[in-house]
Amino acid sequence: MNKETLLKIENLHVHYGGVKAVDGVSIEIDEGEIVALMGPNGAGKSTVLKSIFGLAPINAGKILWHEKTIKPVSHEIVKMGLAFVPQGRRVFTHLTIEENLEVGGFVIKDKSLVKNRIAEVMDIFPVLKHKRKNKSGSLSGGEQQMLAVARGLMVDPKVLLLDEPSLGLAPKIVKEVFEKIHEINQKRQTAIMVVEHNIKSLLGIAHRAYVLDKGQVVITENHPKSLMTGDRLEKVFLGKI
Amino acid sequence: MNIIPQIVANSLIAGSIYALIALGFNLVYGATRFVNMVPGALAAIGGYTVFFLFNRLGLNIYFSVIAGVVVAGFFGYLSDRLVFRKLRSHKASNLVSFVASLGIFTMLQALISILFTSQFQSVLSVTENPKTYQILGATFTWVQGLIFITSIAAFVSLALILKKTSFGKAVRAVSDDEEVSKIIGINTNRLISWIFFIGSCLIGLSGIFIGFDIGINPTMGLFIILEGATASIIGGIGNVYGGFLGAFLLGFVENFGILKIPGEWKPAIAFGLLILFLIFKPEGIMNKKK
Amino acid sequence: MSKTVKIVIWLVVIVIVIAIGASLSKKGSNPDTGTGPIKIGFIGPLTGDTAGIGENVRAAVEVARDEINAAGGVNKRQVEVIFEDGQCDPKAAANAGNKLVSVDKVVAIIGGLCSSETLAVAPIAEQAKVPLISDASTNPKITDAGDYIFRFVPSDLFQGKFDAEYIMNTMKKSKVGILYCLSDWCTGIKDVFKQNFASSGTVVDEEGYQQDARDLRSQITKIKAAKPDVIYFLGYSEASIVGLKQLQELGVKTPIFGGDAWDDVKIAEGAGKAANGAMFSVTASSKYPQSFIDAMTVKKADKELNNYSGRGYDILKVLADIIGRVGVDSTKIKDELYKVKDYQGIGDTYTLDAKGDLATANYSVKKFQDSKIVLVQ
Repeated sequence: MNKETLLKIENLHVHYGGVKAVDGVSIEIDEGEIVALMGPNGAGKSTVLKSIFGLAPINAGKILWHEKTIKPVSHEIVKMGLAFVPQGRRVFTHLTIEENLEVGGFVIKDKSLVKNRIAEVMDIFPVLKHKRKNKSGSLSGGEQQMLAVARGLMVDPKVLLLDEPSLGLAPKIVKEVFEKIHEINQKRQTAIMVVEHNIKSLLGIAHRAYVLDKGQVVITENHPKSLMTGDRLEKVFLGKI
Repeated sequence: MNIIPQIVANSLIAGSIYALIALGFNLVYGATRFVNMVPGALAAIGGYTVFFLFNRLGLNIYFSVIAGVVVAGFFGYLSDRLVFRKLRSHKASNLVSFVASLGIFTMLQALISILFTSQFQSVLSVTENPKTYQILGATFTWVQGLIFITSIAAFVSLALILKKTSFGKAVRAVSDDEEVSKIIGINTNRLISWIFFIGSCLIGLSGIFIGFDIGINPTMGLFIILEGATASIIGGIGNVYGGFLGAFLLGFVENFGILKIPGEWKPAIAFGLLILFLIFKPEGIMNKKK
Repeated sequence: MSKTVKIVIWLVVIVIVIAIGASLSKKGSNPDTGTGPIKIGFIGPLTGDTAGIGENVRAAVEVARDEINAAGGVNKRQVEVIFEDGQCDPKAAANAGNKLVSVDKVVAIIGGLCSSETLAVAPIAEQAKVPLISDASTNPKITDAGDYIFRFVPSDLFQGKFDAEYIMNTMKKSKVGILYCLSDWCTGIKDVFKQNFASSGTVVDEEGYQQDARDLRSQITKIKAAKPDVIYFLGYSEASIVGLKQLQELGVKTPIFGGDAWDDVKIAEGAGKAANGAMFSVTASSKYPQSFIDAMTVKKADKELNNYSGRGYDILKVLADIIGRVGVDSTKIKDELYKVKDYQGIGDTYTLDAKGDLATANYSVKKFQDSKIVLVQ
């Protein structure tokens, strides 16, 4: 199957004041696939995502979108079709659900298209439909996470980056979130990179997986389900690889 | 004679001026989250621009007022473009930004003193008696009526812009979370510059109105900051509706307060309210406790 | 902390250090050694509120100085006047007084103008045994401010009484509303006024305001409600301009009477029509001689001639005369000042009593009309 590589990160180095947060990471994501990016705390996973959006300084390495090197200017990236749902939900608490989605479509010039998209994403996340006029600050953690993802989908991105969507959520809600991620990928062919700490259930829906430790890729796996058994993952988390 | 109607009128006029200050102050605070002293100087800049164009050069009053508003807005924009944007990109703390704003405020005030002397100046002409109106036993001048109407109009316009336009929603998004706003494609630096400009225009207008109503002097900024900050904190800092409410509340408490307290305590009332709220309800009336 | 911020902070520190160094290195002058110019100090408001009056007195003192020096000076020495800005503020005046006494080592000081200035400088002058002679401060407390404290203007014990009697007997009003500033001068004259007015009238309301307040509407609203038949409005120039305008804006038609601080053309011009008809008391003065008016015209100060300019002129002339006779010893100068009797100056005829005050006082009444000041009686 000849799938186009959409986003490629080549030998990325991010140094935060003396600390090598990302120390030579190369990963890629192709059309239509779900890629899991896992690893212990401080492995550099979130930093990789942030650097794509210009929120972390790049010391060396390249970021390529459709094989072309890009210079990350934070507010320009989403226009290319790449959306980011950062860690901690981070909805606009004083705005309503509907306004959050509207503003998610900020870069779309055609406002009627924005309206249609809002209807679309509300179909994917029906729980948002009933509360559309409520301020998003009043939603539960799980609902806010859905809203954050829905907001990311407003630009109908080719690639969606999710940073620890399960953080702080009950296991039942985490299951729902991952089901939604799967659904979005299947129905809309959106490529999704999901950063997670250690959730084996993610491996069940991913096409490929990377495991990071101390700023470097230590496992590249094209059959992620194989990581769900055995102790290869545990060894990383216990610092043995 | 019942003086209550007059005190109500005085309260509404004071509240209108404070409202303009609070609107401008809250707009900028919402986006930048630090206590900014520069608005004090911007109000003086607005007033002095009108004084210079209208009183000294004899230009048309409407042109002078518009120029005053724009000049104040421009200086506010400059303060962001030259100083605060750089501090933001270096992730400077709120304390550093406050100190920087204090420096800019002092400099601008000193500049005005040098150019115009520290004398108190009247802005409007004194050769004609001002037209006064009487409603329900309260007397007020046409300038005061204009201030009241303008203040309401400014508030309504701002509220509509924030609620209905995509620019307004972007402003609200940035004040909720600047980083995520960038991620979804908002050029936050440019937006914040606009916020500075609009907020500074409102504050410049308040300085112009104070000039019309009472007069101007280079140190009027401190008074502006005190009243504006008090109104904003009472109403809920960063909350545009709250600032409007807090401004009129302050106006009423100040003017009704001196019914019983000697008049020279008026400034102390603002301070007193401020301290009360900081102790008991620091989030203000309209904000929810975090 | 980022580089930019660090640089800014270092710049500020450097500027502060240079400023401190510069002020410390300013050489303190030597005490009067009998040669070189005779140094006399002057304190008055040269900026801010009441600067209109202050600048005019300064010009008059310069005229006197120039005349003295043109005639050969005093004891073959030129007279040098060091002018300091008191800003009609006790703190600024005290700083000015300290500088004149310890750094410039003046032999006498003309000033302050505002009573608050004089009261602030008095202890400093008294301790340093430097005579302080005020050209305009009328607060009663100055009478007992010290052995070295004098004034060529009468105490408000006279003015408060005069105002009360004028309002009661000439204006025939008996219910007064008092609007007064919270400075030494205002409160001093207000208290004397009240004592004298109590005999046949009532004070229906009394409202104070901070000297630097610029919005008197609350106070005016309250006074208006008390229905006085006259308003006694005490204030310096800036607050008076604002107050007169606001009295008119709030529809107050009651007659208004003020004190001698209103003898400032800036008030007439600043308040315009709003001041029409408002009257005030001033120390009576003879017409200034044409030579003085001409000299002031050269200094472009003729438009704002006021009652105190002549007194400032007279004080310097008296000092020059005294120093010519007894030299620059401050105690001797002080002793001679007490002996001033029937001195005919251009501003008044002066006789000092045992406390350094003027023994008698005469007042006129002036009023504002069409942005000018005119004499009523």
